[in-house]
Amino acid sequence: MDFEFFTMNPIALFFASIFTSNILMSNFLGMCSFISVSKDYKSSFGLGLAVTVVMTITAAVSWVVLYYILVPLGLEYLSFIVFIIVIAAVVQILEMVIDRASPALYLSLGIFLPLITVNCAILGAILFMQIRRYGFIESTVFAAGSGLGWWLAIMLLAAIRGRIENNPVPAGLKGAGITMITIGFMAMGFIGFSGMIAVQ
Amino acid sequence: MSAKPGKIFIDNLWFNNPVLIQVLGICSTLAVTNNVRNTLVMTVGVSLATAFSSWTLSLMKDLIPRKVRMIVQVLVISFYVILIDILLRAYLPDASRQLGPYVGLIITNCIIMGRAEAFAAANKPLISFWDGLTSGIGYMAVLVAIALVRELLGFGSVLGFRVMPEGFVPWTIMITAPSAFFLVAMVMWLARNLQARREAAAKAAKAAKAAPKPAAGPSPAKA
Amino acid sequence: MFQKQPMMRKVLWALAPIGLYSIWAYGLRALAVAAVTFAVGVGVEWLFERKKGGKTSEAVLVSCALYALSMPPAVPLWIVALGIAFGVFMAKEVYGGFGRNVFNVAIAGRLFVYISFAGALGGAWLPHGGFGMAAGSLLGPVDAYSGATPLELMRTGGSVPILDLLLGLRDGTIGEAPIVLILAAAVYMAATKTANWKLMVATAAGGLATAGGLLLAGVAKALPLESLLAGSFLFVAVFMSTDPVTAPKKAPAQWAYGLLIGAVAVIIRTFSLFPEGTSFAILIGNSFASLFDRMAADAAARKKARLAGAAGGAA
Repeated sequence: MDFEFFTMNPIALFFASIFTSNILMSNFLGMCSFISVSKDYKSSFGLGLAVTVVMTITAAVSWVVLYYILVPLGLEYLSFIVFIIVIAAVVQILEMVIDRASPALYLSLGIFLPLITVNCAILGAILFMQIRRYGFIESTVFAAGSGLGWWLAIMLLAAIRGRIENNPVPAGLKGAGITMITIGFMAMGFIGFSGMIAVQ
Repeated sequence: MSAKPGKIFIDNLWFNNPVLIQVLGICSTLAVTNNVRNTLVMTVGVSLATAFSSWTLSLMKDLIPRKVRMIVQVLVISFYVILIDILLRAYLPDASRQLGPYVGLIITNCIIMGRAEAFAAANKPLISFWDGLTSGIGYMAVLVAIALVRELLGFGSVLGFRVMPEGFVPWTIMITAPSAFFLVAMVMWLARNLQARREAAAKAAKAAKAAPKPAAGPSPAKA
Repeated sequence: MFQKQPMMRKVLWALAPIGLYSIWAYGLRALAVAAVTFAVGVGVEWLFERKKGGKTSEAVLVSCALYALSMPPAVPLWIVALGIAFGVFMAKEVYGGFGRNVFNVAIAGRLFVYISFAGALGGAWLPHGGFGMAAGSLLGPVDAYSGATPLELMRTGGSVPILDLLLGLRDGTIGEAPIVLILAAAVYMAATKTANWKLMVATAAGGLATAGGLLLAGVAKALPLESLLAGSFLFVAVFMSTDPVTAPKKAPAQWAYGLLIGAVAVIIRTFSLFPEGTSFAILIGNSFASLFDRMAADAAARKKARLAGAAGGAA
């Protein structure tokens, strides 16, 4: 491997990926499942947990595949397809492992796993790690932080949606519209952290 | 299910617009809407990827076993997105650099999967291509409109050309993420209101004449 | 024309002395900002409510007053109008009007223009005092002024006399400076149960603790007492974090909410690009309010179930 990795204090990177550059609120990733699932508080908890776990594992695995297989073979242009396969495989294996190990956990977590393969936040975190040339530690920490940040955002939104459910919102804004506005205000608050820790 | 190309076009552009009505596919593109040029590049990419993926998947629909359908879909989509990525790198290196990871993220754009599931899985290849392309155009229309507002107020320019007068103070918030959320909501509101008004008018006309109800568009599908 | 809301009237009474201070400090300039704010803010709400057939709430007057007092004195008036219009429309009417909003209306409007026009607002200070005479100009275009607010002095490591801070003898936004009057308003509102004292105390405690912690950790510019007195910290702690609509309803959630706002405000103003963090802190607090309430409710339910289980076991 003959190129420089981007290095950064892992703790700073961890907090940055949760707060200052939240993958949902500043990069808009993972919105589709976010908008449909955040109606329900309990499901949001399960999905957030599942996303965090899968994101961390897939980022670590993808990093190894990328830098120990694709780059040495000069196949980096195939990375998109390989990442997708890694995500699908990790989700599949995780589903089997959880099913064997703990049926209770499978009920709370497993049902969300199939949803995750097409969650853009997961692929997004991996692509960020590739483009920013994170090292292994940085990649894993960044993915874990991004997952937690996504989890936090979906929990906040689910709680707020529970509160405004019966509001007399204008008809055209019911559901998706008012949800977007709410995320907009949350993102506005989080802009306050900008300039504290630069991810890149 | 067979539909006329003209009706598909109108549905995808307006009555069943992927962003405004189905709320699909905003993840991967909203981030680049503070700049009209990048938005155009991205949405053309999405339109082509949707069109060709729908075409290919429609061709293959009888060959794919049900169990592996999703993974085959994703692989086909990834194939086209890789082509788009390579073309961008070669011909628009500047835009490619600015778009960064978002080109790759076209793969997970729910519109592509959505059209593949909802339309291409049950229709002939050519009409599926058309459905994918028009869905992409409906998507493009909304996002370019948002990008126009954001670039105009955020930088005072359109497509990089300065159009605002000398004393104009740029609205920094338009460059940041929250404005995109607010603008999507506003466009959504406007479109749904217009449609509701039309529907109400149609209903009134129907009540008056007892005419047959206009056919509803294909039901929105979730990816 | 207005829907009667006794609580909102008490808040307006509490704000009145601060309004008088602002006229002393910035004269006609303060009145002009207030006039634009009230005209636009009430106008937007009236338009919306008229369509629905509802009445304009008195709460919008409170939002307008808080918004006007949190503007820097030399702000261009079109910016004032834009911010309050956005706040009332996007943070309140769209959510269904009074009592339904998730985010504080005045803060939403202020932050919209604060993020957009950081440059124009950051340099919009005026020297205080003499009914606006200190600024040398009454209404028209105001000369550029190179003074620094205490908050800016602190960020660059300067010191500020505490007595001046207490009495409001310093530059700042139109109404954030008179600490004594703000404290009096706090006591009045807490005594009449207009505002929740827990929220004020928790917010102040969060700010103090965070600034103290940072000071111990060696961040020299985070001075606990000055942090509380400079900028809009107390103004926001007393009037914004206590907004009964956007704050959590359950006591444990209220403590968490206040502490979070105080801590975030100090962290943002110490480390981020922005000189003042209180508005961001309120919006972040608003985002967490529903979750805190939900968690408090869940915890209470679990406790109840455990007690019921224990009682059942004992019986």
